[in-house]
Amino acid sequence: MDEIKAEQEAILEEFRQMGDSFGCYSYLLGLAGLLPPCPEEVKRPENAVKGCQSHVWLHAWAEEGFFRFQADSDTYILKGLLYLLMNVLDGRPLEAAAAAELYFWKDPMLLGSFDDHRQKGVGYVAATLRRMAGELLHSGETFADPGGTGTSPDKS
Amino acid sequence: MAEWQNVIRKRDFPMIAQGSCEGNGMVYLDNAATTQCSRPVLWALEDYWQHQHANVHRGVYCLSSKATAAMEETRQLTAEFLGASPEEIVFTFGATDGLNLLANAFAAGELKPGDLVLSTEMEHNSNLLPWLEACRRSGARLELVAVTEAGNLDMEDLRRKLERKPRLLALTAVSNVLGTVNPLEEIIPLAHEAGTAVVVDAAQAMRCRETDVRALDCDFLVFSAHKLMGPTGVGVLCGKAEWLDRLGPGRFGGGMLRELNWPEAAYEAGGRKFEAGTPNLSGIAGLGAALEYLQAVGRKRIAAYEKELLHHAEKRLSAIGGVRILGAPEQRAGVLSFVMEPLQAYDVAMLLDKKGFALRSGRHCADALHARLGLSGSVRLSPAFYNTKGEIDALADALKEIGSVSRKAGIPVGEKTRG
Repeated sequence: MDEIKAEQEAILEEFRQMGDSFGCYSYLLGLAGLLPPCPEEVKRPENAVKGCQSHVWLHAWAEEGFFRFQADSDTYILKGLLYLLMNVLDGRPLEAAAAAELYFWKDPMLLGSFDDHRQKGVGYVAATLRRMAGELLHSGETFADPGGTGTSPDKS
Repeated sequence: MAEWQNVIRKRDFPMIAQGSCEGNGMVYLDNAATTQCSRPVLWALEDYWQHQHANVHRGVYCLSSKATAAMEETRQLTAEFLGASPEEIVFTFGATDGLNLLANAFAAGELKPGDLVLSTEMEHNSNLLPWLEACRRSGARLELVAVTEAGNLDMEDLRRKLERKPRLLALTAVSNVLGTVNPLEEIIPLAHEAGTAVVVDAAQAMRCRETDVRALDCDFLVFSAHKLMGPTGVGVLCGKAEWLDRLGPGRFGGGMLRELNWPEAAYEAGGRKFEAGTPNLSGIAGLGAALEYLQAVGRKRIAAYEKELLHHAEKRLSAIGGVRILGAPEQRAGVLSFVMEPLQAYDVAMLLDKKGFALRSGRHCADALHARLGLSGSVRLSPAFYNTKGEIDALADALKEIGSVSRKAGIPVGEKTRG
């Protein structure tokens, strides 16, 4: 099993132990606090994924062939999900991040009711991250970490 | 629970009584968005499609005559419900459609460059955007009457703006966010003194307020059936006969033509000229059944019970640390909105959904009001007469639990208010 899949399976296992979906969502509130602080300059309109009721900001760059990103949201539940996406994708090789099959939030035990159909929910955020990884892979460019908060990749 | 309510829940709203959605518990408290259809409405819809369906006004055969008679009966019933005459009733596809129809008609023949049109900061976008567009097309100017900190319409601001003799004032009877009941009995005479026509958006008011257009003396009033236990896609524009005669049609098509001497076209008088095309005939049948149903349950009883329910909700929610109810209007009806900062409305509604409560979050299409309140969104509770105090109590318990799990997660819900 590849590492991206293994990380998602670990997330699912953790959530399945929550008992019910209220427990899962309450847990996401706790995870929100673990999302690394996002510099204000990242929260620019060009980095925004705007939904009807929530905003997400994403900024990605390549670091020595690895995919790095910063993210934030104005809602705690989405912050918690961004933290999980960061565990799954941040610091992975660009090629692996661009090709990743991302699915953990679709599990009915977990977040099956997320508003993926609106193309503005977590599915859209995940697809945007994959696209960013693909663009970085093909451009061959290495962007500076704008907030200075990035650390060396610890995943491979 | 009162006996009458127990009966109607079980008999007329089985999903509400069952309290579940896809096998999970559900308490439906989003009635400002739409209400559940009562069983008599569903029967009327089925009966229409099985036994009455034919196009109206255009057929000499039996079935068409029957369909036409049924539609006209609903027109009569609607007129009685509103205290209007049948000629003043225009069937539309909903309140939004009625307001667009009116705004189009005003833009085409009534508004001139430099004219002033008033609306208010508490309107649903449906009563703002059509007027904004009508003003843009005609060269008129749209200004909004302010809302006070408490969530009332600022009557001083209204008086000042009326001094400039606006052509039209478009306002809601009940705010779909704050539940503010606007004092139409005071506002409409003031507007008429200034020579200003008044358009009332009664979408939120029809179920919880008895409305008599003659007594109110409004020039136009719109509402949707789906907020009255009726079907979606149908509504009513009620206009004073002299206004309906004076205005040009807001749209064109079959059924509204009186005579065509090419290229000159003359249109039907009164409301008929606004009903171009085939109306939503099954919807109109459903509307009729919905109005009869509300009459049978008792409009006074519904209004009194919904008032009691909202008062109970206000009392329970205001006692929860971290819950801030928006506004404290002099009179509130139908809805109550709140925030639970620093949680976003989206967070609260999602967590409530996981507890089985159906409440709406966001700006509720009232963007101007949320901007005025400095909020990106709110959570809206809107009970109807099939809801119970027990359901409100359960909601209050769920909100307390959300506050508690948030604080455990390090999110300081209610800590400022407690300190």
